[in-house]
Amino acid sequence: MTPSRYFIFCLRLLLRQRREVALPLFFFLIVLSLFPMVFPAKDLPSLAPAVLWITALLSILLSLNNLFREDVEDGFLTQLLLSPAPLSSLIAMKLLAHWIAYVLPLFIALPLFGLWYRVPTENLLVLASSLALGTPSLLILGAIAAALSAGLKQGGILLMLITLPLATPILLFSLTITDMAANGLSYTAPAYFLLAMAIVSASLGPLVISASLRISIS
Amino acid sequence: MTGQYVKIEKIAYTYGTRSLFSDLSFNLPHGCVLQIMGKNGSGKTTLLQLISGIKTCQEGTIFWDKTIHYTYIGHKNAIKGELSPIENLKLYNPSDNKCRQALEMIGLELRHHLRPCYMLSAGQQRKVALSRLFLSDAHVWLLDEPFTALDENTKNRMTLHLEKHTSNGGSAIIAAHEPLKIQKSVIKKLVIK
Amino acid sequence: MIKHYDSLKIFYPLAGRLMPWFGWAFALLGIFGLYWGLFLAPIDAVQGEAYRIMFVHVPSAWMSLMIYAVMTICAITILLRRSKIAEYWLLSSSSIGASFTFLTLVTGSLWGRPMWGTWWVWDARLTSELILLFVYLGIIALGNAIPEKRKAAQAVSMLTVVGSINLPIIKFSVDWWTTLHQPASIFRAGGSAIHPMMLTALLLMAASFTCYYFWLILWRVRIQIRENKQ
Repeated sequence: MTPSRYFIFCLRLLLRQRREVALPLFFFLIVLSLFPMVFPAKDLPSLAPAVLWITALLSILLSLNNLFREDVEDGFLTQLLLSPAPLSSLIAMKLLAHWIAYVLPLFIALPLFGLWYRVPTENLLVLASSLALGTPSLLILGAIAAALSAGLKQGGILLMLITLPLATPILLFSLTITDMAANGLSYTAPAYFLLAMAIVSASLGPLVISASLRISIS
Repeated sequence: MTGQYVKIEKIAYTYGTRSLFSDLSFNLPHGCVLQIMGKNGSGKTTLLQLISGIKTCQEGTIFWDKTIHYTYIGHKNAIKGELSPIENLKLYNPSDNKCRQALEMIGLELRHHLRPCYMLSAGQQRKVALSRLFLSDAHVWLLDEPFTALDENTKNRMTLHLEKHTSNGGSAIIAAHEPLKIQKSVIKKLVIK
Repeated sequence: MIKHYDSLKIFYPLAGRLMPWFGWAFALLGIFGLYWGLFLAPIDAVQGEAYRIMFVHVPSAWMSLMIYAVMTICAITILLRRSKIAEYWLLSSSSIGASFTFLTLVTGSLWGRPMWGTWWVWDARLTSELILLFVYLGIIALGNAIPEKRKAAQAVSMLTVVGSINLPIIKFSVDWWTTLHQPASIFRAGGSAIHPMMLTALLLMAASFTCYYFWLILWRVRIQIRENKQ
């Protein structure tokens, strides 16, 4: 088992599971549709970034529920553990595939979101870049929680409870970006923070996740 | 380490407050089948997981011959239902031909090679899992209840493969509660209570 | 393993001997501290008598962070090498930490009522403290969800360490966010110009709370050692 072969394996599996993969995206769209129904139209543009981010946060965490559960149940995780390739490199591939399957579609849904919330295109681009910068660390943080709660009965809700408080900085930095952009300020400072967090979590995350999985399976 | 693949020295494992085994020592010589026997819940799986390195020992040490490699097939099949047997196996070996050969060696008919595994029976899925043994030239096979859900025909086939494996100098550790029918290779038995 | 039991054998009676010291220190320091804070410390020029809740609020806020720091030390110990004492210590600490965080929030809210005219304001300190409470609750929930003690301790250790890296970032992001959206808070306990009498009372209360933590944790670890023997 090599990392590249495992990456293709993950992508193929996710493609085959596309019906399940689509569910968090449906969730994302349904929750997004609720706010315009209950809030007056004039408030929507100012609410838009926060609503988008919180909805994205929840749907990504929802998608992580199944990240390791199946692998624990069907015994696949033991094969990952015993593979000659380092576990962390395989985990990194799995996360990359997961990002492509679950997070990338959120970007594709952005034009629709812009239409619903009357967000102009240039603001959508800022939102998209905040998502691009923030979601990697979010995914990795959630994956750590998923690894720690893998195989537990209440794993799904536990994953949310563990991750949400720890994810506040990602949420706040991202909204600082959109806030500053809306006020015509340069938003490089919060963007660099998110980038730094993404780099640190991408380099340390897979190691922490591997160690957490070893604990979970022991 | 001459002549031995694994040396297990004084290992112990407690689950919670229950001690599964303690002060357990044994070796795995070349060309030998070691059968781990014991009742349900006696710790056969745990012992196999300790040897394979999935779990870590609380006490004692397990020495592997560093120059060899091994394959572990747990009591769960570790195959993905949405993928076909070939797609599952390609993770371990990129060659289509090799994968097909491995499936033929365990006796999975050609017509099942390309359909998703969830459409296969439990026994057929077990065959897919076991066919991984023929993809790597592992010196040691670690098998946890390999014969579950297999028909007589496939059991005999597996027995022949085990005999061939040991005659080539390979070894196996098998957790199984029923006696093995192997005749041509050396069998060591380890009973844990 | 033999060495292992030895450390427990030394720890158990030692903890038993230390416990009364911590218990009495907690009570005496607490009485002194409260007397000092409620009667000796001068009245605040701006906030009047209401500020005196600070003598509970500020030390519990310190405790909420100190206990997390202690837990991080336990967590690193557990991840590096096996230690039964660190496992018990870590698992027992989280609920004490959560209680102090909760106490901080309640007293902060009580203090806020006369200051802000409302029980709750999304002020930077209160918000960070609330997130800290959620972090503690997540740790407790994870620990409770795993039936096997050793495994629970290891999983909690991992989460604690990840949280300890995250906490400063949370604090920073919340501070930044609130400065963008609200004027600076009045929630400052005197700053550098704090009256020496107030400081003495604060330090006494902080020492008392620390003793309380050690008294309680030693008690709990001893109970766990006893339970494990059976």
